[in-house]
Formats: sequence, C-alpha cells, structure tokens
Amino acid sequence: MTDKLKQKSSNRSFLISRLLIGTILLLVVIAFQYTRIPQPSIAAESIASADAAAGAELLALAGCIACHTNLDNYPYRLLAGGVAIDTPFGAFYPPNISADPDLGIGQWTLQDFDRAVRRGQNPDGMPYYPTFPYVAYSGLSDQDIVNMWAAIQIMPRYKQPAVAHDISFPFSIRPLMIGWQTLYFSPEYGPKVTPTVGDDRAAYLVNHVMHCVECHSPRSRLGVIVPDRKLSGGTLGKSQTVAADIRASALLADGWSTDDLDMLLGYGMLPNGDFVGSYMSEVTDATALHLGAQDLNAVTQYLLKP
Amino acid sequence: MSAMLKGLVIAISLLVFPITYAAASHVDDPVEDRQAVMKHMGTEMKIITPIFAGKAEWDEAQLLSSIAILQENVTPELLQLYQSHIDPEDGSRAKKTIETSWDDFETRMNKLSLQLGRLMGEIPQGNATALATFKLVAQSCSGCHKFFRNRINDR
Repeated sequence: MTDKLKQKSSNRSFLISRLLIGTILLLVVIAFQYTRIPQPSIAAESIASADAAAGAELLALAGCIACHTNLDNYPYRLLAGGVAIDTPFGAFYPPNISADPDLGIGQWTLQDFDRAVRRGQNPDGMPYYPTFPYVAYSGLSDQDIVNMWAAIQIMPRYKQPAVAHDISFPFSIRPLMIGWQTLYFSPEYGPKVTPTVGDDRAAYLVNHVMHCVECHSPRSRLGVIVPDRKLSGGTLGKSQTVAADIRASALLADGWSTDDLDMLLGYGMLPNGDFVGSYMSEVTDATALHLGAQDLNAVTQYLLKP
Repeated sequence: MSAMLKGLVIAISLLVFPITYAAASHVDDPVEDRQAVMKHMGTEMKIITPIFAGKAEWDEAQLLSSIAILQENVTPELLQLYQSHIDPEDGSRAKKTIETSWDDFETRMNKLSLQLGRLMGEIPQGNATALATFKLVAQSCSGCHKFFRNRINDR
C-alpha cells in the first residue's frame, strides 16, 4: 500500500474509532440519565383521594393555565397551548396539555405526567427544556400531582397542534439537554403530603407551586439558576426585563409591608398605586388571584421574614 | 421711536416670548398630560384598593368619590392624548403598539369606562357585590399596561 493510501486508511480508522467511542459514551450518558432520576411510585392512598377541584385550582396557581393557554384570545381554550415564551435561547411554545388523545396528553398515564412535571422527561425519557419549570416542580407533592392529573382528565379537550419551538442552534438539539440535566438538575423529590400551614406551606408555594424562584433568580449563560442567589432578581426574555430582588432584605429596604405584598399579589397594585404590566401581570391576573386568604398571608409573611 | 423705548419693547418681547412658549408647550404636551392623568388615577386606586381588599374600613363616600374621579379621567379626551402621539424618544413608556393596535387600545379603554360605571352602581350594595367588578377594573389596568406599556422593573 502506498504511503498516501496508508495515511487515508489510518485517518478513516481514527475517525471510525472516535465516532464509535462517542456513540458509546452518548448511549452510556442516555442510559445513566434515564435511570439516574428514579421515579418513586405515587402512593395508592394519594391516588385514591384524588381531588379534581383542588387540582384545577393548582393548575391555575402553578401557572399551568397561564403558560399553556393563549390568554390573548377569548374564549380561552384552557391548556390547549400557549403563546411564545421569549428567552435568550429562542422562543418556546408551551404545548397542548389538555387530555386530547391525539394532540394533547390524553394517552399519557399518571406516571407519564409525574415524570414530565417532576423529572423533566417526556414519556420516551427525552428531556424537556427548563423553560418548563420542572426544576421547581420537582418539589411538588404526590397529592398535588395526583390532583392536577385528575383535573386535566375532566377539563375540556382540544385538538390543537403544538407549535414547534424556535430555538437557536445548538440549543435546538434536544439530546444536549441530557447533559444539562445530568450536570444541573437534581430533583427535590417532593413530599407525599402537601404542607398546609406556616412557613412550610409558604416555602412550598414560593419555591415550588408558584415557582417565584424561576423568574426572580439570576441564571448562568446556560440558564442555570445561581444556587446561592435565589430570589435575588433575574432578567426575562430577549428584552432583559428585570424581575426584582424579592429577598426579604431587598423588600424591607424598599419599604414593602405585608399589606403592600397583599395588594400586589391580590390585585396587581404596586405601593404607589400603579398596576403591574409585563410578566408579573400574568402572575397576578392568572395565578396569584387563586391564592386563598390564608395562603396569601403565609406567602407575604414568608417573603418578608429576614 | 426712541432708543429707550425700542429697548423696552425688545426686553418685554424677550420676556414674554419664552413664558408664552413654555405655557403653550405645557398645555399642548400630550405626553405630560396623559402621564399626569395616569398618576392621578394611581393616587385614587391606591386609596380604594385597600378598602376593597378589606385592609381599610369600608367608606362608601370615599369609594364613590374616587371612582367618580377615575371616570372623569377615562374619557375620549384621554384617548386623544395617545392617538398619533407615540414616539419612542418622548421619554414615556407608551408602546408603538398603541397605534398599530388602536382598536384594541380603544376597546380596553371603553371597557374600563364601563367597568367603572358598573362599579359605581355596585358600591352601595357593599363589598361582597362590588369586589368582583373591582377586580376586573384592576385587571383592566394591568392588562393595558401589559400590552401597551414598555417594560421596566415593575416587579
């Protein structure tokens, strides 16, 4: 064999071996990721006590309806798919999560739903983008998952196709999210029973159900919440709209009282009488208004606790 | 005309002109006027929201007075302050979408006016009756801000 041919053959072998190693590594990572996040089964007693009415309230409070519904068009087609969520990585379109068997999640099981919401994986094990706040939702309780699932089953079903995300390369390569989840996502494994009173309840609402932390925290360039700066403020969308620092130290320094927070979360009113627009209005209009008086009180007290 | 008289005429003109100009600019400044209206409305909302929220005592007279002020401000004249007066460089937060979605903007303003009228009628029946309509008024405020006002740090 001539030297040139030998070289070519050697190059080809090199390439093939590298491709093989890369493929094996990728398969290992996929297998590891698929099994890394175990999915404990939901207790039978939680399933038996499913409460669809409570679940419907939760779908509102957790922002599922706000994101997965086009609230710009009335009458609303609840959970049939939402408008674009604008991020530095591109635009994400929340899909149809009504129980329609063809274009929604009607063929899913409760386990599939749990896997999606608390483990960030679709029924095939592929990862979701963290625009879907499963990082926060991983702390939801078994009972809340069951109740939300029960609610979805009885809500209207819509044949509305999902809109494909419009994400910039290379973030558009979904399998890359396997690496992201491996490195940055450690599910919290929510409690079996939902906390109902005091700081436990408030922390559960702020950090998981209403996931305030998802907007009001700074993120790295890869979209990871900076762990020791939760609630210290973030920026949203391409326009880099500021989501304020809502740690107690900042709120108290700005002169916020529990009454001010009540007015904001309950009515969208700022202390100067102005009313929020932008992203926060979606929270006050579609989610926070579902907070009962006791929960509202717990949340405002918790946010102002140094 | 004597030199002194000429000088006097010139001095008076120099004084009068900027004063007149400033006054005219102020009266014809739609941005300033609508910002003043919005601030005025915010002042009234700041008074009545805690009442509806149960944080302050129910005061029918105050509520009726504040809502009357809101009604006086939500008028076709307010709409005119926005029509064809949207300029990204004018220092206000009004979005260009006001002009491109004028029908929507106008509809929302008219809806707010209707809601205020309804609220006025419900106040004498007490909070339990009026609260739902008040929440619609609050949502009208934030809804308009969401679509037609540029975002800044409004939490």
